[in-house]
Amino acid sequence: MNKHNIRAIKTNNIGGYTLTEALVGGVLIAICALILVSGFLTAYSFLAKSTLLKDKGMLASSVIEGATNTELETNSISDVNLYFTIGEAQYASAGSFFIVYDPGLNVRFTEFISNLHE
Amino acid sequence: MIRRRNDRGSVLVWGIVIFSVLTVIISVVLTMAYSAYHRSVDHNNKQQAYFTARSVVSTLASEIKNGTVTGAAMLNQLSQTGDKVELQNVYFSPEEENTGTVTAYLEIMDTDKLKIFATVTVSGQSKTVSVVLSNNDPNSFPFSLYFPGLYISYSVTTVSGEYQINNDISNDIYALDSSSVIFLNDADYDGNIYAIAHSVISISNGSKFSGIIYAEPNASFVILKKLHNYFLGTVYVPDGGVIKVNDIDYTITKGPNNTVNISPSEMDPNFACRIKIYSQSHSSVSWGYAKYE
Repeated sequence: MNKHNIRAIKTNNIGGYTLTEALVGGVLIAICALILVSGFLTAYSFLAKSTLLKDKGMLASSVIEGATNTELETNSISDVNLYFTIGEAQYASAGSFFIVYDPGLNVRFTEFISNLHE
Repeated sequence: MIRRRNDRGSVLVWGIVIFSVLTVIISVVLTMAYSAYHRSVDHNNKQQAYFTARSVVSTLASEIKNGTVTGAAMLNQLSQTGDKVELQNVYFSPEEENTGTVTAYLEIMDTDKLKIFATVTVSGQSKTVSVVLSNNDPNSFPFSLYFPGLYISYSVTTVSGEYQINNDISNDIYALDSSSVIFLNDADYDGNIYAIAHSVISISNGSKFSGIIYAEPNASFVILKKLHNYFLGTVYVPDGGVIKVNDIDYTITKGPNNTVNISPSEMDPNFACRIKIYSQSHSSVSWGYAKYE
């Protein structure tokens, strides 16, 4: 036996690896596992929120189009004007806002309804 | 000599490899998930852009269809096919979050078609909505590009050859290119004549008239002898139009204070005083039918 082999046998030997190697490997595996889990959780969270936004968005759209839904809040703001300019002159068209929104999510649709009959 | 495989440090290598692979996998999954999330947000922003654009288009259409002052102001900017007017500084007040930035314009597509466009951008997502308004009267058709807003009933008498007006005739007349309409001596006509370019209207000296003639540029008039005292109808000509009276070309233009300039000035004064400039615009049309696109 040469000098190197004697030193290897002297240290604690776990399954053929030294203690240091086992510790470093374990820590690395733990970090990787943590990254893996947190990454997947974040991805899941994004996907879940994406689906929720999409579904609520579709619901809110349908309410704007006239459907009724109890999950969403609605609000009306009267005395709103649509302003525009032609040349130097400014014109206004009176109407109101109809707003549909989800209090918990960032889903909010607004429609301006003219006071004139179309 | 015994050859041994040197495995020392291989855990670190494996660790780096696994870490790299995991990093790639996580990156891909996270990117895909974030992209899906972003698509949902963008979709909702685009939906809001659509609602705002539709609101603007619908409001402008209502102003026009209801014949309001605002609607007339927009239509007065448009006189012939291809004319376009852009509305500037379009905004709502009081403001409401997330309604986006609006650009809108109107365009005359045809004598009986008006298109309103609105493009709205909400957080980088744009949507354009347009509506085509058209005259909803199925019983009439537009006369001419020179006479915006003037429609002819389909019950009009269309003349392609020669047509004589006597005391019995009262129907409206649509005189086509190269046709000839002759007021006979006993005519007492109070209808409308729509004279296309190169049609010829001959007026006998005993004929009475209390209707309206809409004359396209290059329509011709032949006054036989002189006009009857009761030839009191109106001849509408577009501003800048050239009509031929007794083989002389006269240019008709709008003068100050609603006066009419006729050049050269030798025209029969009794006929000259019957000429007026056509000044109606598309605002006189009933834009009843709306088709969203």
